[in-house]
Amino acid sequence: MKTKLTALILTLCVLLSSLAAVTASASGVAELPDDWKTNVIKATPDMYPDTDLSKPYTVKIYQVGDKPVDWDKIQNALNEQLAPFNTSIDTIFMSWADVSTMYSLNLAGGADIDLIFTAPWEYMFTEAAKGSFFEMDEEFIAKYMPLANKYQPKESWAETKLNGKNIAVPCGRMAPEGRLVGIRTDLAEKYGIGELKNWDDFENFLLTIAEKETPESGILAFGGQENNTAFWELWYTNENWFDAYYTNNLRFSYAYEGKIPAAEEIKLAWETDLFRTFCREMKKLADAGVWSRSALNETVNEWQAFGAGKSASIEWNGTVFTYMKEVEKNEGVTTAAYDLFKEKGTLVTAEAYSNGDIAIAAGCANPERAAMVLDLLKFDTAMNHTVVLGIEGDHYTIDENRIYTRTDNAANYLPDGNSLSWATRNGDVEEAGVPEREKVVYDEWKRRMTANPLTAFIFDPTPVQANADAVDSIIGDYYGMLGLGLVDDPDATLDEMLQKCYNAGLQDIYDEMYRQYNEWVAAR
Amino acid sequence: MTASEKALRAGRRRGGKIRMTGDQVAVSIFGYLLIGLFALICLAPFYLILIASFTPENDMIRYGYPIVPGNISTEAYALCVKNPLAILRAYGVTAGVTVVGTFLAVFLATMTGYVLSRRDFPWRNGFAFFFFFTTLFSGGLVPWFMLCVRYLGFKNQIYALILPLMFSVWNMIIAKSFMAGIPAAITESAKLEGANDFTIYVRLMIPLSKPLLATLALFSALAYWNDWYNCMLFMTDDKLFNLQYYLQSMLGSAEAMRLVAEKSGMDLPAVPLEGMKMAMTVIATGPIVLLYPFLQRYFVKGLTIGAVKG
Amino acid sequence: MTGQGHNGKIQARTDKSMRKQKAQTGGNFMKKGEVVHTAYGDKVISSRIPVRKVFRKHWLLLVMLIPAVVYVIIFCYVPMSGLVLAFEKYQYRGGIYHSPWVGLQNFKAIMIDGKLPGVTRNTILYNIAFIFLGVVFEMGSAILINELRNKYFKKTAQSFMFLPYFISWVVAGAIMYNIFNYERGIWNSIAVALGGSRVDVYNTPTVWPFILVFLKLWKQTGYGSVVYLAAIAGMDQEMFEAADIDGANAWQKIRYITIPSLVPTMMVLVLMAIGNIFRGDFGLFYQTVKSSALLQPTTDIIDTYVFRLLINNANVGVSAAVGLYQSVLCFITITICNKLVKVANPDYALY
Repeated sequence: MKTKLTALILTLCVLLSSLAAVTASASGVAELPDDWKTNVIKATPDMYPDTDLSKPYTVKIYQVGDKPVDWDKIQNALNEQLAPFNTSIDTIFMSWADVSTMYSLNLAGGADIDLIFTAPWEYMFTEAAKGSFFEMDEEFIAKYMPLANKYQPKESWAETKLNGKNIAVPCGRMAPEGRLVGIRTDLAEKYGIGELKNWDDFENFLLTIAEKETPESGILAFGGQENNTAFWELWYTNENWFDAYYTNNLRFSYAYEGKIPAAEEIKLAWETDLFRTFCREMKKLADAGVWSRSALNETVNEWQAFGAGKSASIEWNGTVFTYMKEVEKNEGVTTAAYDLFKEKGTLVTAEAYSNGDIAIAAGCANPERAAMVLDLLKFDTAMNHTVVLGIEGDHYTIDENRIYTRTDNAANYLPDGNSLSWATRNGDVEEAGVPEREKVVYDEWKRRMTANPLTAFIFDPTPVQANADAVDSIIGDYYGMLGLGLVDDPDATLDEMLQKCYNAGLQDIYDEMYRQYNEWVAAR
Repeated sequence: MTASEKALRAGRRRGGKIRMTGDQVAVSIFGYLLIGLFALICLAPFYLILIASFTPENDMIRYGYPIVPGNISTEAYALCVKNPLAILRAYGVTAGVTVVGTFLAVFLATMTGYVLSRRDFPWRNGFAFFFFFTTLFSGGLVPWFMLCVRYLGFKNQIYALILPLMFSVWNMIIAKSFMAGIPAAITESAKLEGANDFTIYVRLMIPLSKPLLATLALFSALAYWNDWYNCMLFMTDDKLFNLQYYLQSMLGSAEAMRLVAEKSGMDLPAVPLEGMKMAMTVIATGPIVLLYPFLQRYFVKGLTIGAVKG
Repeated sequence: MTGQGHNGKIQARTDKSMRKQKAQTGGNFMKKGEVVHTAYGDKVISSRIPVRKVFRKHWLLLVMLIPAVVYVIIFCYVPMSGLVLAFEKYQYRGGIYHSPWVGLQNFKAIMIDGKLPGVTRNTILYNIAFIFLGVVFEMGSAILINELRNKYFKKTAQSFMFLPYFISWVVAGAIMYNIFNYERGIWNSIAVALGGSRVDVYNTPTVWPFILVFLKLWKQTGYGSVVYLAAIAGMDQEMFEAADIDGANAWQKIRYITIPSLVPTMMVLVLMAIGNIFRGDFGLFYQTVKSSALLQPTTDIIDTYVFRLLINNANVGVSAAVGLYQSVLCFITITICNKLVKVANPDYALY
């Protein structure tokens, strides 16, 4: 009798404790703090009750870009951290030179892939249309990616949905991306040019250099090559234009006025009067000799030219500072960067969440495990910092405010320097020691940063794919010449290009786009 | 043989100076001029590449490729051979694959070419069409890649570098054409002595076809030596990279370092990208350019004559 | 597929034994199964010999064919079934054989902007120029080199001629840019120094056919001349000595002995090149021209056109359709050419 009672009590105790354990683990994620940016998040295997962790599994990750020198150290550190989860990772790098062939070939050809880096500029939507990615529904994300479910900004999920299904997981941060112009101040002073406040000042600088400096020393005013996206972006930004759809050469844009535009306001960027005026203006600059007449075939790109002292100006985003430092070091000259839009107060676009994403391949043998690894790399603080920053003490040091400093060894694993980190970064760390002139610019940008409401609108060109490819190709043929002003009659050439586009079915693309857009607006 | 014939032959064999007739001189001058001019045109770009590989990066960006060497810098080469062990290993992979592959390729091409050159083989045209058809129609890269990776296990295996280039229909047709030009009297006497087809091929056709073998060996060796494509498709383990692909990966990681340094605002590493492309060409070409002069000794006339007469 | 021409008519050939045979049979048709004796071996004029007989007589030859046949079946014929992709819209789940069928839609995609006839015309015209001039240069340089006496000159010249083969088109394109760019190109710098005017090569479409043909010959000649050199080395020296005795001069020897002896080799190489006449050398056309609508009407070929069309969307179906388009055109062309050559001289035909 006594033994029976003891047994009963013991069983009850076991049941109760296991019940407690179950309820404790199920609420494990719920117990985590809400703010991942200041708190250390540590994940444990019991946060993934639905994932079967009994057998070991190696998750194969495909990255784009070349392998950093110290990658093996990083991978070993990550595998140690993943050991409690009975999982490990193995990474394969697709070098930049090969990625255009190997990316879709690996996905189609049956290579063993679990996770793969992707982005709208890296075949994300075209591969998704072929069904190469695993489609995650809300239930899957809630069950197998609880951390992402909790912490990933809600508005970011819409950016990686195709036809209502999630095909990739975006990164955790949105950063301002403004445009800057850098010039050689030594040359500016030589000709009495001061601070540049807007496009006209800049144009004046270019024309002066082309007229006076180039014949003398051979330094070009601007190292234009291939096409002139740099200057077009300046004009575009000047008028607060945002993109509705931008792939390769197919760019549909609208002028942002603080609200969701009507369908008809979205136009092909090359059809607008702004572009027409731009082409005429570029011809004027080309004829004045601002860039080489053989610029279309120039192999050296515009920022390299500036860094080597071959040209007097550069235009891009924050990268401008890197090349300014280079030419200051190499040639011993002075430079300055100007935000041509500060005075006018134009908006600064945000680098979307979806600028770096990770997708699960359709052929993945164990999507739940792959999802778990992705979840951990994104939001488990220790693992996330390993991927984004490297090994603490070896590549970086960090203080309690999450401001990090690079060590001398950082060149072997540059912070935020590989595709995995672009897809998993959260914006919770910041670098110390940013030079004053850069900090001023970035802070100013953060102030004017505006998210493009149409980033969540994903146009699916599949019904008009052939037309889209044809029009894209036609624009690609003309864009370089027009942008660099190397045509005799910009208006005639532009009309010719547009005529060919309409012959190839541009109107069909418009119709389809408006149709999808109106559906999307109605569904919001 | 008449007396004059004998004298002519004797003169040639002794290597004595035969007086060149006027037309001979004309042809020679014409030949020296044209060939000389063309050879210089072919050499000039390589000269530019050589100079450019020793030029500092900034000079190249600002002033283009120099005609006369100005500043000398060995940065580009230093970067390519940064890891001497790795580059030696890459050389080893390429050399090994080239030697094995060339041997197999020449063997297959000549054996198959021999069979198809036999006029008494009634199915030769059918088989010729069977082989030639494959140069006309192809399923494309994706099906071939899937076959190799999924069913033949090519990923990270050395034979993935050897097999794709092993049999070339072009080489086989050249072999067939060459062997068809060898007089039958030779093979017939062997047949009478009871030799079978394979023995005839090995003991007779091969020794008689030295120019052909040299040609095919040259083409195959070059194809293997220059191949980076198969390495890109199938190799992810960098210990198995061949020379061309290894150099490209060096260039790739240099470009990547630059890309990342740009983004993170770091000081740009002194990476001579343009110079590296030139240095790569020089390093990769280096040894193989000596193969052709080495093989030229086999392009000697009159090898068949002794066999027929003898 | 046999030596017999159309309607059983065999045109007269220079082969002495053939003429003898013809005299013997009174110029009648060759009967099937008949054996013709030539200096190069007994030739059988038929494919109607029973299979068993062939097996028994030539079993070793068939065995010797096995490795190549197996190789070609595995690596060429099995993937060839992937041609079906040209009619499908590739989906990962369906793979190659079960993706949704779309008929001719992939072909429509390449015809939509009306560029296809133009680029096809460019492809074939450039290839004709390459083949024709290629033969002239390669055979010519092989013959001339053969005539030279100085060994050291020969060896170094041949090695120099071979160097362009090792220069990739990427590097060659960069060099070309450095020579021809408008402001500081080597050519223009020299022209200006000598008092001339600059040339704007990259904005002048009409020069490009000449430039591209020159570049192709520059790269190809050294490599291509090797086959002719090997053929010359394999030539029977008796003929030359007989000619010497007959008092022929150097030019005559070249014209009447060397060149005719090289014709079989030349025919084989030309026919093989014709088999690829609708396929272009992508590297050459892409790396030197890049993308410029100004130059495109004269320099765009099928391969570069399709590359730019698919650059952002790796559409497997469309690229398979283009491959099929090129293959069918090549097949038609080579069949016609091979038949024509066979009628002229069956020994020169490819199959």
